[in-house]
Amino acid sequence: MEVQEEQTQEEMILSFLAEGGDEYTSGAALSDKLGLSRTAVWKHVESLRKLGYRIEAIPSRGYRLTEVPDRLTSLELDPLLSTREIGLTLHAFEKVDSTNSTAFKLAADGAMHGEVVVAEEQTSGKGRRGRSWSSPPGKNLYCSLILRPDLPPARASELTLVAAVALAETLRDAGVKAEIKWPNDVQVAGRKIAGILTELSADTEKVHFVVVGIGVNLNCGAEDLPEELRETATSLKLTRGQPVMRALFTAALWTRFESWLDRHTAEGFSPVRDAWRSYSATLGQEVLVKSEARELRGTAEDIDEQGALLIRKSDGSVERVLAGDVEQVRAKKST
Amino acid sequence: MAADKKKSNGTSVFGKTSLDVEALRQIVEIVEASEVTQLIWRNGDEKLIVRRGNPITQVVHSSHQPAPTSVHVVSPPHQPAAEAPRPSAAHRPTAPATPAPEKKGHLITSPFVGTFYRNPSPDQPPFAEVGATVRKGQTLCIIEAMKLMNEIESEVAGKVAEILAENAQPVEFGQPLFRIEPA
Repeated sequence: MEVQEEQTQEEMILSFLAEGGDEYTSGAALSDKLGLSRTAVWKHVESLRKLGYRIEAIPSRGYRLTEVPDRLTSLELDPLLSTREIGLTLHAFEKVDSTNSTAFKLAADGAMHGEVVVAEEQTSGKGRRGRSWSSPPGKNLYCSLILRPDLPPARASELTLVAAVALAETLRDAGVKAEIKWPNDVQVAGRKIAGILTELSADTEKVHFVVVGIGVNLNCGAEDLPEELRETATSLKLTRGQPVMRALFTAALWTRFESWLDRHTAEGFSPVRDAWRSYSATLGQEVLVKSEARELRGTAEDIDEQGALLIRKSDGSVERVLAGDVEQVRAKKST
Repeated sequence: MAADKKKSNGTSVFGKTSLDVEALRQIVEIVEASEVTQLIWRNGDEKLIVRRGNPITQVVHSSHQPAPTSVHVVSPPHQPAAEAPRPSAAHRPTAPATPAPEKKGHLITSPFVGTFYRNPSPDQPPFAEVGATVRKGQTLCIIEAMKLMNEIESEVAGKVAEILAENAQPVEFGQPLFRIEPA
């Protein structure tokens, strides 16, 4: 199995310790199973401790795992996942340039539907149109899901709203009133908490694969956010006042995403659209849609059966928007 | 610059052409003096159709009705029907519009309805300019719909002969975006 092959010796030691539960696993047993010297085992245990695993060692009995840190690897995620496909093959990294770029390369090399790239840190996390996604290490979720849906390219954009609905619901389960800004930013009280960037590989008839990149600000504090984002961004911890166990949130998100994907496959876009509408922060608002070519102002009336935003302009006509940044037009204070 | 010129004798010229008015006049005269009813001439991006016959039909090329001697230089031709008509469509400088299907080369079309971008981000140069040599699989543009980004790659190796859509503007499903002359 690929997951097994990708496991490092440290991960294998952890697996054995996790299997042992409250029982001690002797150093001799570990070195036998792994084909390592006892000194090598000890060195790996030391580096695991540095990662935050609390491993008790008693000379006559061996090693015992007493505390698991809040990391995002198969070790933490596998026991929590109840998905059929999403995340069962996990590519977990300490640091990548971008989970989307990594996933895109893996998919181009044949990675299967449901494989996921997750990283503790991104050095150049991607946003829309060359923007960056702020990705401080060890506190948030940065993951990219590889999907191979049986869809024509014209319908692939529906998946970006599927992801938004799953994300909003998972955040609501975590206790914050998450809303979706068209098409798929997720915000709480007007501040951005999560973003989704989806990349498609297709020919004219068929989708080869889709990479859905999801960034969620979970446990970062204001000090972790770049200064220019402190007014407009937030995190789950900042919003609800307490941190979340990231592995739990991540497993819940992937599970929710898979069940929405199943529903989308079985019933089409209509239930996704209904759920999207119910979580929308955009519909009914006076908005300004900024694109590179122009700005469009009007009332966000609805999304259509492809997920495009329908803007009612002041002259009464309706324009269909496929791309752009939506800003809510606020009544200016008279100060 | 693309400009509409009207000539007498049902000769109309759309767009930039290497043929000057005198050359066109001569071609028309040759056709009129001959038994030929239709002459189609092509040179690179340009196409000239000369027909002889009865009443003037100002409709574009593929009319089967007999027409008077009428000259059509199609370079560039019409906007795709899917796009909303614009009064100044023929004058848009950077969007030379859809080529006639008879044109040589490989057409790269849009896989879905979306916004067309020629560059990776607004402050970066375009992926490819007219005249550039491209590899098979080289990124030519991005189409975006609902924050789904699709990098469109060249299906052939060759030279970018034409860019048929305008940056940051909507494109329709199947709309030609690039014409590539295979190497």
